[in-house]
Amino acid sequence: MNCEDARHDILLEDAGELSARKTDCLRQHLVSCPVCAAFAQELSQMRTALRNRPAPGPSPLLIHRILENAREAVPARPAPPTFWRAWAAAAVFVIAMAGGWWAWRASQTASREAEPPGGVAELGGFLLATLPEADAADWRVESEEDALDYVARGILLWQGLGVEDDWGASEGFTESEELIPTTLQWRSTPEPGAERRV
Amino acid sequence: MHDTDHELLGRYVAGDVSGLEALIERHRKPLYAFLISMNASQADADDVFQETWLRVIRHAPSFRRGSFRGWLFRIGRNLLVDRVRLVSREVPIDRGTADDNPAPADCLSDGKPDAAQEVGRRDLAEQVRWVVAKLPAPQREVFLLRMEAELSFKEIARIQKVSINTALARMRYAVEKVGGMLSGLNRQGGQAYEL
Repeated sequence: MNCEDARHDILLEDAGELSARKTDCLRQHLVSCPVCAAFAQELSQMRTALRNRPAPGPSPLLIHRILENAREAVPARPAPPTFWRAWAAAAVFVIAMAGGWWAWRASQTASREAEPPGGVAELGGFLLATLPEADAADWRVESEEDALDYVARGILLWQGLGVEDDWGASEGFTESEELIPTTLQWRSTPEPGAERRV
Repeated sequence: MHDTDHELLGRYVAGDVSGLEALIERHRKPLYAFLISMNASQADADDVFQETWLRVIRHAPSFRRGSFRGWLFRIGRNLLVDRVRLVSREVPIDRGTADDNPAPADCLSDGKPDAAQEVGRRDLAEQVRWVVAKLPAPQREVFLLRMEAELSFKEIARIQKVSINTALARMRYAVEKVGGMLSGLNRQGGQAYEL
């Protein structure tokens, strides 16, 4: 280790930014280099001197003016939800979703002879069925890919994002497709001969 | 319990002004001392100090990550730079590259033959303050951001828009020069600090 590197390491150690391995190397260098050891001592003494000096401070009037501004700014700012409120909202959401799904599944079981293929499809169907624009009677789940598409589409619609909306454009995207999975674009760009109905 | 800066700022964002009050109390002296040590007049330091906190108030909801202190000092430093540029005054806060590393003896001779001798009789802290004011601006800034504000070199490098190695080199020059100048002062003032 040369002296320049050693002094940089002294500064980094003072800032608490030196690794344990490099600290050991530095210690060894300081034992054998009185110039760098003096540098480290100077740094330490300067810090002590600056820490102990009476530092100038702003006037109480200045602080008062800043706090007045702070008080005026606070009411205009909506308070973010607190931790427990966020958890409570999440819990209510989960319970409501679980209850709704259970009820929907019971009704579907009673009205259909065959079960839809799997829980993922059921969740997707339920999500769409909760939306005004979705028509549950038109649902056909013929493959696992369909099921996943329905789930994704249901989540997008349920969140109020929409599949064909222009929300992407307002975020700086020129086309909504940039934010929508390719498999969800059948309504805007139908493939020839596609039989899927949504 | 000692609240972190983030917790205090979060309290303020949630509507509790005492959070900001505690933040100001915690950082007011280092920030103000930094502004004064950067050769700002008291009037400039007052204005920049106030504007810095008004910016904090305005942008507090958007502050998410990183060091609050680093953010605070970056705002203050940039406002001071802007102010100096605006009034075109001879406060070399953003200059100093032409003579980035003058010899300690050159820094002591500022046209007042008795000044160094006078300062040499003061206490060590006052001497350090006086000597630091003689440093080239980039070195002085690094020295103060490290010693007064206790920012990391990563934060200092970010503030100065330089590499960490450049920030380290500036700090090394600053410490060496301050040490050299203090030794010179003590010889002239007849005091013998262990520096």
